[in-house]
Order: sequence, then structure tokens, then C-alpha cells
Amino acid sequence: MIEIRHLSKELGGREVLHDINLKLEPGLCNLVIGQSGSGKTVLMKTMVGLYEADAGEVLFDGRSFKRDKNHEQLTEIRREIGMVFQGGALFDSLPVLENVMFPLDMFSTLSRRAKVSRAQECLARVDLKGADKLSTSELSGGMRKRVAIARAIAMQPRYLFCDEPNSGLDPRTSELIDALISEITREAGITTVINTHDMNSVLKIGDTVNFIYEGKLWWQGNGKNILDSDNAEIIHFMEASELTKRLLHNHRNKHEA
Amino acid sequence: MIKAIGEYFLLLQRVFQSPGNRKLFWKQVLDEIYHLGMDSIPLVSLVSVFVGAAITIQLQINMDSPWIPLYSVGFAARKAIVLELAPTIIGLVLAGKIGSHIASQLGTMRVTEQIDAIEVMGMNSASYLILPKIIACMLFNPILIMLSIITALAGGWAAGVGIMHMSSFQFIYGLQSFPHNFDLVYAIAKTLVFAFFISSISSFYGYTVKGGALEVGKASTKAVVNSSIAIILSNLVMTQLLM
Ligand SMILES: Nc1ncnc2c1ncn2[C@@H]1O[C@H](COP(=O)(O)OP(=O)(O)OP(=O)(O)O)[C@@H](O)[C@H]1O
Ligand SMILES: [Mg+2]
Repeated sequence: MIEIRHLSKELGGREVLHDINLKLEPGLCNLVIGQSGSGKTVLMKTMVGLYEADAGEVLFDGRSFKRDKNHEQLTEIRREIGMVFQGGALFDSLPVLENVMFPLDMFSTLSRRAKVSRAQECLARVDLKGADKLSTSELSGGMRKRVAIARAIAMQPRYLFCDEPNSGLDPRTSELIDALISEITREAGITTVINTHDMNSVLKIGDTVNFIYEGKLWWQGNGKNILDSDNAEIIHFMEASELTKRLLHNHRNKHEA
Repeated sequence: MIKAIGEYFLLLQRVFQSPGNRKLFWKQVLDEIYHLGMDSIPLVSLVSVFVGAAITIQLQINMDSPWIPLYSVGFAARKAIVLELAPTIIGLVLAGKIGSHIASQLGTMRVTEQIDAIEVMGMNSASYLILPKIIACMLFNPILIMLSIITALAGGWAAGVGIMHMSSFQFIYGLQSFPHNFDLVYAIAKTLVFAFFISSISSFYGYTVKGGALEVGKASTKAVVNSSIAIILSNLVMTQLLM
């Protein structure tokens, strides 16, 4: 479980995150949703310590790396983290297979052959069998995302962070990625945090849904009860998507009938 | 400026801290030697041959006097090449080539979040990325400088004999007269210091880029300019101290 307590973060002289309190449960897909610029990426990066929090702390099963002078706790926690960056952040000096193998090369004591087979297994899970030898410049946007996911799960993380894992993907691949993340989350009891503004994902895999608005935690619920919400901002957010707009409409009609 | 220097030393401190994990270190060093060092061989040879030739021609013209023995041209060319031309001029050439390469590579890794990705795995990205570059430059630049000395002397000989019609014997006699081994030690010592400045300063500008592709370009320019300044200033200090 990850617990966020009174987290605030200022960037460029502006308070981007304001007093966020949040609990993220293991074995569930915890979604963070919100408009572009609402602070999702900053929240995720502050959680893993890429940005230093101005106030508050983040507890990973009770462990915090704030005020950790020797970086020991930080290193320990980060070894248990897998992260998918919004832009993929693939190492462009390495081909696909080496990208996925990178964390294994760094941290595991497996033989080279075992590492290769583990990396291939991860690539197969994201439907990229046979892409081993490609260089990252030969990948499409969606393939990059999938390689990034394969790299993030290679070390079997205890905490998985995905920043918009399916933005820019076609609906079918999107769905595949959602299903995959949700599956590994349940299988291994991972605490998964997903930033998204895809309402499809919200409804499908939103075990918990946390709506961020202007850097504040505005609404909490899940993919099932989000349509019932009477929060004006979240209704506004949902109505921007044709899918949820229609669903909302049907939903209300049903209630009125 | 003061702030940048402070940040530079903070980064250096992280570079030499425990790396968090250091597997495959020597493989990385070899890769860097290949990309930074081997790749510079043609440029270094080309520049050295021509500068060595030009220096010899200058010396020959300016020392054309019955009071100066003929072999002095060879002797003076050797001194100039070993003491200043090879270490300092080639140091500046390498600051341009290696410096811009390092800064744009690390800068691109920064803006595409590759450095964040390494950091988030629980590694010390500064040490992981920068230390192999520093070590590679300090190992390989002395070899480049030796190469530069040899090719510059060869260029000098070719120009002296081929263009200025000196006698080959006189030139080589000059090269060999008053041997002074400390000159070579001095050249290597300077090269090591310059190699450290080039690799660490360019790494600093690349590693700390904020923004996008435009900033990567600017960082690359700053890397070259500031490594060159560091080379010239430290050259002056070392000349004072060591000679
Ligand atoms: N390094 C930075 N310096 C200054 N301001 C920043 C920085 N990074 C982000 N911001 C600001 O913080 C706010 C939140 O940005 P963030 O990237 O978290 O948005 P987001 O919710 O992830 O949006 P998107 O859905 O487009 O990815 C934005 O207003 C942005 O301008
Ligand atoms: Mg974002």
C-alpha cells in the first residue's frame, strides 16, 4: 500500500499540488484522472522522488524516503518500483531487448540466458514477440509504450507507476494494455498507480479513481460509481468524452424513469 | 556563474559517490573509449599534421640566420609541439568534438526522461552515466596526444624537407638534440587535467539541461565554450607551476 500524506509541491513559483491525501491499495488499479495540466505527472514524479516534495510525505508500506540522507531507503524502495513514463523514456542507444533487460542487467544475478528469456517473456506479454532486435527509432508510438511497460515489469515490481500508458494508442491496443496491467496487478498483488484521461480505462479498470483538479484531490470513487457523481467538475470532465456523455445520458434517463 | 560552479561540484560529488550499482563498468568505459576516443583519431591526426607543418615552416622562415645552427628548427619544433601544440591545441579541438558529443547525448537523455528512468530504478544516474566518460577520456586522451605529437612531428618533417628544402638529417638531428623527458611528462600531466575538465564540464551541462531540444543545443555550446576556457586557464596555471 502507498499512502500519501499532506503532499504539496510548488514548481515555477506556482503550487502545482496542494495538500494531497490518498491511499493506494495493493492488488488494485488505482487511477489518477484529471485534465491536461492538472498535476498528474507531477504527482507521480513526486511520489517516486524525482521531484522533492515541499511538504508532506509518501509512505511505501510504511517506509518513507524523505529526510533519508544516505539514500539507502530511497534505493531500497526504488528497486521495488516499475515506472512507465509518459513519453516512454526508452534508452535509444539500446535495441528493444536490451532495453527490457536493462534492469535485469543492473540488479539481477541471473545468467545471461535467463535474463534474455525473462525479457522475451515480458515482450511477449505486451504482444511484441519478435521485436527483440529492433532499435527504438524503428518503433511506432504504441510500440514504444509497450516496450516501456515490458521494461517496467521485468523486475516484478511491488509498485507499478504508469503515466498515461495508453494515450496515443488505438482503442484495441489500449484495451489490451489496460487488460494486461490489470491482470499483472491482480496476479502479483502489485500496488498500481495509473495516470489517465481515457474514460474507457476509467470505466473498465478503475478499481479506485482519484480525480485531480487544479492540483487538488477533488473526488474519489471508482469506475462503477463515477457516473453517479454529482460533482460539477467531474461531470464536466466526463462530458468531454462522447462515450461517457452518452453513458451519463442513459444513466440519468434510467434514474428518472 | 558562481551558482553554476557550485552545482558543478555538487554533481561531481554525486559522480564519485557509491554508484548504487556498478556492473558492467569496464564495458561502459570501453564503449566510451570507442565513441569518444577512437572516433577522434582521424581529426586529431589531420589537425596535428597540418599544424606541425605550419609551425616548422614558420620557424624555418624566422630562424633563417647564419648565427642560428640549422638543426635548431627541428629542436624548436619539437619543443613547441610537445609542450603546447599537442596538449593544448588538441585539447581545445577535443573540447569541441568530445564536449559537444557528451553534452548533447546527456542532454537528450535528460529531456527524454531517460535519466529519470535510470534514477527511478534505484541507481545513481550521475555516477552511472558520467564516471565512465571521465575515466575513458583520462585513459584515452593521453594516447591521442601521443599520436598528435608523432603526426605533428611527421608533418613538420615533411614540410621542412619537402617545402622548405631543409636537410632531413638536420631536422631529425634537431629533434633528437637536448632530450628532455620531463617535457613528455608535462604534456601527459596537462592532458590528464584537460581530459578531466572536458569530460566533467560537458557532462555537467548535458546532465543538467532543463527544457527541450533547443536547450540541448545551447547546453552543447556552453559545454564547448566553458571546457575551452577551463583548458586555457588551467594551462596558464600549470605552465607557471610546472615549468
Ligand atoms: N518542471 C516544471 N516547472 C514548472 N512548472 C511545471 C513543471 N512541470 C509541470 N509544471 C506545471 O505543473 C502543472 C501540472 O503539470 P503535469 O505535467 O503534472 O500535468 P498532467 O496532469 O500530467 O497533464 P497531461 O495530462 O497533459 O500530461 C502544469 O500547469 C505545468 O505547467
Ligand atoms: Mg502528464
